[in-house]
Amino acid sequence: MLKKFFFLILISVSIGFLTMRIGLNSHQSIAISIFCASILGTLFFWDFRLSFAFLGISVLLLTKTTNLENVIKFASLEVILFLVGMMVLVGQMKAAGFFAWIVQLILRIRNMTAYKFVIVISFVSAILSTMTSEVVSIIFMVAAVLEICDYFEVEPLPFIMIAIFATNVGSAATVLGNPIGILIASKAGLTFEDFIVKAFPLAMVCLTATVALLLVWYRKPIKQLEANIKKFGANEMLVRLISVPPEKELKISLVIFGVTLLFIALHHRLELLWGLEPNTVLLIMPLISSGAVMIWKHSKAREFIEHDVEWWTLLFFMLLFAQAGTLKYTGATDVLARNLAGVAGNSPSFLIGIVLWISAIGSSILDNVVLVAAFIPVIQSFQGLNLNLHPLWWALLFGGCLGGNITLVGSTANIVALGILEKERNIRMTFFKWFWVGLTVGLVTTVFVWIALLFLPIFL
Amino acid sequence: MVKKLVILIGISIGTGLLSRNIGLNAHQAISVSIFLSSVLGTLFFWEFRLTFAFLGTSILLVTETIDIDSVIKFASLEVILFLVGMMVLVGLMKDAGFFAWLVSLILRIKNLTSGKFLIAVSVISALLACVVDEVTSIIFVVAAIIEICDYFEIEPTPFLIISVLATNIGSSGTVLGNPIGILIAAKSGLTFEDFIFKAFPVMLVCLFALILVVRVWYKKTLAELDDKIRTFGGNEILIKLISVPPEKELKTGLLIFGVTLLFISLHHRLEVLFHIKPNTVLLTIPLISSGLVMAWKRHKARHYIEHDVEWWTLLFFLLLFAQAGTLKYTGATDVLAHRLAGISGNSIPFLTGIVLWVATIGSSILDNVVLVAAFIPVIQSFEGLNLNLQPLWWALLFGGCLGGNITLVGSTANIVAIGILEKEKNIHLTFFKWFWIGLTIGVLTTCIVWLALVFLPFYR
Repeated sequence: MLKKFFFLILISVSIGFLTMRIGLNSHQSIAISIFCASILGTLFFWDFRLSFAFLGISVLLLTKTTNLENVIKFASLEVILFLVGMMVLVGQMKAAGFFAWIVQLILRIRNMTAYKFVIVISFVSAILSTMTSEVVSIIFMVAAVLEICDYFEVEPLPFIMIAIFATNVGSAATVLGNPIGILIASKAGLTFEDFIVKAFPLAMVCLTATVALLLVWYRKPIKQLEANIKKFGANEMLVRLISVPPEKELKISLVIFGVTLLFIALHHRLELLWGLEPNTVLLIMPLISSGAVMIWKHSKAREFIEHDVEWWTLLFFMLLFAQAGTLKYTGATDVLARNLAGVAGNSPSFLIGIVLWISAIGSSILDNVVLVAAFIPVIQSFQGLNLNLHPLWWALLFGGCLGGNITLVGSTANIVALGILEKERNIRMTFFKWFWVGLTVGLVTTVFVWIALLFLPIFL
Repeated sequence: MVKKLVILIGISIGTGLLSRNIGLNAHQAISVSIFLSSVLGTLFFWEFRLTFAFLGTSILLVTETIDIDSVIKFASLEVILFLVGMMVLVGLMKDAGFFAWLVSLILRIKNLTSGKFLIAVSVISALLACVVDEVTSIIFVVAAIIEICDYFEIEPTPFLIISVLATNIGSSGTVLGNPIGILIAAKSGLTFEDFIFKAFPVMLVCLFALILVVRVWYKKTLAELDDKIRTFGGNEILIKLISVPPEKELKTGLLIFGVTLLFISLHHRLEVLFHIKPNTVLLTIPLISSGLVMAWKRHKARHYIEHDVEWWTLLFFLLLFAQAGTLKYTGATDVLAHRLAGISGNSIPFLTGIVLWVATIGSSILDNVVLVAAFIPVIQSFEGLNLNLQPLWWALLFGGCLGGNITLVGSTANIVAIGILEKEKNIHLTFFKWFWIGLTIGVLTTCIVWLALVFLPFYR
């Protein structure tokens, strides 16, 4: 551990010196080397990454690289509050049995076949992760998959992987799927409608490609499942065993969640109608709904805030955003942007490729929020160079989400799902068992996005 | 509950309309009535007060009374992060057994007499409340009192009341004692040294007055304790039973805490020395220490953040600060400040009296953070009128802390201590049993502060 620690400091400091050499000023170098330390902190010391965020921000403040006002400004409290609100809502949905209800809908599919099953779990995973968040969605999908696989006595691993891949792909489709969605939306000024019109169809294409690919890749386990289904006589028993009718509480929760989604979907129009600043409605809608939920379930209000909100992660995000903001404040990202643009010869299509592939490959190793937080100020700096930023934002979004499929630590959904698998079934995943299929899926979907961003006029 | 809700909405809207009539513009009236509803929310619906903060902030944003950038600015994230850092440190101290050790020190006083016990309880309560926060301190002092009183078979209530009164007085002694301390320091530019030189001595005088009064007030109880001590032959057995030597972990914890306090107390000098902006060091020191603590105790890092940090309260503060900021942003507090200055004829002693007594009486019913958050922009507005603000800040601090003694719901420490008494000993305290002693102490100490602020040239 001590070794890793020295390694971390050594790399950060030497990157600082290196950037000094290539012409950045001292504040820019400090900002880069602190940010680098935070990134390496998440890589090496995942369990206490917050330490590095705390210390890093303190160093930035004490060296006058940034100041309190900027820390506060860049910490993006509005994004954090949005996530708090959504987490409370999802907590209520969980408590009301929404996810259990979805799971039993899958379990009760009539005339189940293996193909049907694969297609259903992929699409349900993807859609759930676009509406709630990928982590919540994968927890329940894993539960459903394990249940079915136990019933038919097949190995659950391939089907779990299918659900994970679909979850990661699906999380790119809307603002709600992934923290990077709301982060990009609020910084880029993209609306929910933009996501629905542009990101959603593209994500669906990627999903279809993923499913097709996985049907071939896992043809053996699927055939096995098919055989077992025939042998056991489908899931009639299961259908009869489980029939959870939606309760009143669930119905009310669904209405609240539905109305929230509706308002979020219409946020841009409402803002125009009422003459509000961009994204105001988007950001406060979850606050209003979660406020309403906390009045309704007032005896559980405190529990929602303390247990359903992931404070550990949110606090890390906040400080990370502030550190990434420092990169912008010191002008380090402007330099980087100019150099990138120089390399790309101001050709947007070349830049799109760079952003897409760097974020895809980067987020296969790093937390995608870390990567996107660093990239946002770079892309904002391109604005000064008179480039069209739209395709770059989409490249960042898709790269960040799709790259998560490449390795088994690529996204939080992967880590959570494999953790459950280990705990419940004692099945351990090896790096390479994941890597080949993950790489294939990651590469194929990223290439799809690349082609779409370059050639479809809608993204230009 | 519905009735209370209707009253809350009725009063808020009524006040809004009223303030519109006396010449505030629409946005000012909205900000006043929203803030009022949050205040009433804490009064009527303490368990889910956050709801009102959520909904209120949303309304402010939707009505364009304030914009998102200003919400973020006024939310005072720096104060919140300071509190997060301190809470992590206190969590560590709790884990390391600091408080249990302190309790054992009280239990092991040699040749115990009732007078000694009274003084030990009050002084330790006050000093502990100065360095950690009042809630943590009261929990452990109450534990010690119940232990001793059980041993000597006397009623713990009088001593418990004394320790709560001392805790509230003590919490005004430094920046760390009470959330309003750091809030006032951050907004007024007062340093830790200012607190030590100006607030701490006054606090000690108030504490002395408290000890004198309760000696007379609880004469009978004290005599009874002396009797029991004579019959039981002192606490020798208790001394022998409990002897907690400070462990290595505790020593390290104490060292970290001590160094933190040292740096915090030197923050102003360090800032001047290194030309850093005011309060930057003050606000970053807890982040550095807690960052180190989390690296040291890395298995518990997540636990500290999730369980020792009171997110429910902090989130409420965040939104409350934003709402109080809206009062300033719309100019409502400027109007109020003008009026107040008009009434007082720009006389500082008169204004000091008003602020002190309004804060004292207000915080006997309300959470003192709510009150101080509302008052801060008013006092800031006086600046435009060319008035010396120093005595007003001290008046606000002392009023907010000392007023908490008047009723049994006046401060969080009271509520927590009474809760413990109910749970452990099944003793229910009535409003009036608290009220008379509380009122006497509250009025007496506030008078002391008033005299000091008006007559000592030091505070001008």
